[in-house]
Amino acid sequence: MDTETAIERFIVDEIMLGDSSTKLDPNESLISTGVLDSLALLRLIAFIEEQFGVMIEDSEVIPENFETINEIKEFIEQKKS
Amino acid sequence: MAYLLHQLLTESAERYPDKEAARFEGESLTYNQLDKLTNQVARALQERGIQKGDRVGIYVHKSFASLICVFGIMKAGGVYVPLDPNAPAKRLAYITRNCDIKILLTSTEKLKQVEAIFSEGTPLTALLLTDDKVELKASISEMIDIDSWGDILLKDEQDLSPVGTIETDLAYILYTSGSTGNPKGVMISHRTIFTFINWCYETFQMGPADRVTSHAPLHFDLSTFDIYATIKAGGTVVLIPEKLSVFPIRLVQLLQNERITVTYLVPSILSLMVNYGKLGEHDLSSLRLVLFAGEVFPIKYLRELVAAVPHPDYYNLYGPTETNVCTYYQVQPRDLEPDQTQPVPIGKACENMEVFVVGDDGQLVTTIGEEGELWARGSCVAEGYWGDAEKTGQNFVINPYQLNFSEISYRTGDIVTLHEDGINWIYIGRRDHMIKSRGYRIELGEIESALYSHEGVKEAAVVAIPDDLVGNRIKAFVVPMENNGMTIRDLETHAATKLPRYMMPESIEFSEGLPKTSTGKINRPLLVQQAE
Repeated sequence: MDTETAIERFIVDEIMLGDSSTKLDPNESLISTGVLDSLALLRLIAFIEEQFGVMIEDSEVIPENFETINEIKEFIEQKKS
Repeated sequence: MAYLLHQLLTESAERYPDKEAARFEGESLTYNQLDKLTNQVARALQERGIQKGDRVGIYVHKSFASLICVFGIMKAGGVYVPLDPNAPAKRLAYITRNCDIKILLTSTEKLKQVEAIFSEGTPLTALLLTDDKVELKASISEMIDIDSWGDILLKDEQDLSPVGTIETDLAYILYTSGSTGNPKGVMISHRTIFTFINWCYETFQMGPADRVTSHAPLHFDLSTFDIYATIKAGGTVVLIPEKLSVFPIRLVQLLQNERITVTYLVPSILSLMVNYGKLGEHDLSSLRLVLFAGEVFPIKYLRELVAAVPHPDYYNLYGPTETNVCTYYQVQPRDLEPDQTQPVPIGKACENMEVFVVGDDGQLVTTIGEEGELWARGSCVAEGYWGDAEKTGQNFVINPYQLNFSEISYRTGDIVTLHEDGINWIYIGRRDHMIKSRGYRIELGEIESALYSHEGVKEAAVVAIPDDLVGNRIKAFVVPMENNGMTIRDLETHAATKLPRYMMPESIEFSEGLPKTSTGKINRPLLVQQAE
């Protein structure tokens, strides 16, 4: 599974508790649509750290890195490289 | 002087016309601008037929529109009803039907969801838009009359003639979780909220130099302090974009950059700031007062918070939506000593309120260490639940301890005990199945009802697992009907159409049966143990 799909699946399955056929627009804000609240964000961070073997610093938990699926993907890829 | 909430704005606009009333994403609105804009909104509402006492919905994300809507509606004589911008359409449609909302103030970004509310059935006849961001889609404008923001800005901006609202009329209705499956609308009068705001203004010495965050959404009663106490004082309401409130470090930056003096937050947000906000690296010297309410603040995070930001005064405020805030307590250094493991007390009654505690035997609790249910009487008690005489009668009862005249008191359902100082009360827990998660109150029964509404559910029990950071995590145990074929995912999808996000169980587990007590009730304590 590629990075984008893994993030999307986690958000749809574990946070939105949605139908597995739900598709998210990778460029749509996860915050203003109410998908990510403060607790969901913590769960997403824990998932990313475990799934991709990266450590996320507190100072990296900012909208620029977590607002959309695309931004999360780019952030993870930059962390891994 | 009349006790009308919207007069706070009119009066401050006369005293401080050019002062900053509100800030949002780096932009400002002066008192004069806010006063005029709200006059225009009020006129637009009256031209759409709004009269004294009519309910008007607010369905916007946190922005200047939040302030413009509440004051505009009250100036028109209406009663404002905030709708959770992230709640499912089914729930919102229920609220519009329950209190008969015909006009909704909303923004263009919410139009898709407004269409979804329509498909669930609603009495709405007109929308007033609070912005002009996108071209209107034809489909929605065929369903309903729409006033654009441009239309509203053409209205007369002068003061309106009084519509005859008096202090015992309703100012707003807040919907909270209801145990039988539908949310219930708590009715708050102008006098009720005015009493609370006056008390805050004096107790916390609010002034025109204060810059106060507005973090809680409008449908959460913490929002009333932020808006009305600040506007009364001629201070500045700094509206926190929802986008930012999710990121602890950005919240702390906002406190620093906006030179916030007063902030009122739920403990779970403060705990996140302690854990992830790098408090020590920011200059929070302007902050003079931190208020928290909505749930128990775990002492270890409160201790860390005060250690990182020692100079402000810290207060614990307590009160269900039905009583606004009814008790308060200023945090003392001795509460935070390393050997302290108990949360800080909820304190003693605010001005114009009395609280008393009734033991299981019906006698008033007066001795240290004895437990009982907290009751409240006084001006801050709500008028009851909209259109629900039965539930109102269960909780808002004639005070049996008042022998001289008849008055209504509110049974909170919260169990408390008297502190060893003999003055302050300590919160122990709930009498029923209501819990708090991230400050939101949640009836576990409402979640169970949502699960039971799926035909594949034979039995369901929802339990709360205590969690320091968020208050509680919610887990559901379900016995499926035989041969139904329902999957966990089916049930989650179904529940998500009925419940707001903060009420969704974190997990649903299927089992062949639920453990029972000797009296045949579901053994919830055992389920909690299993889930931990």
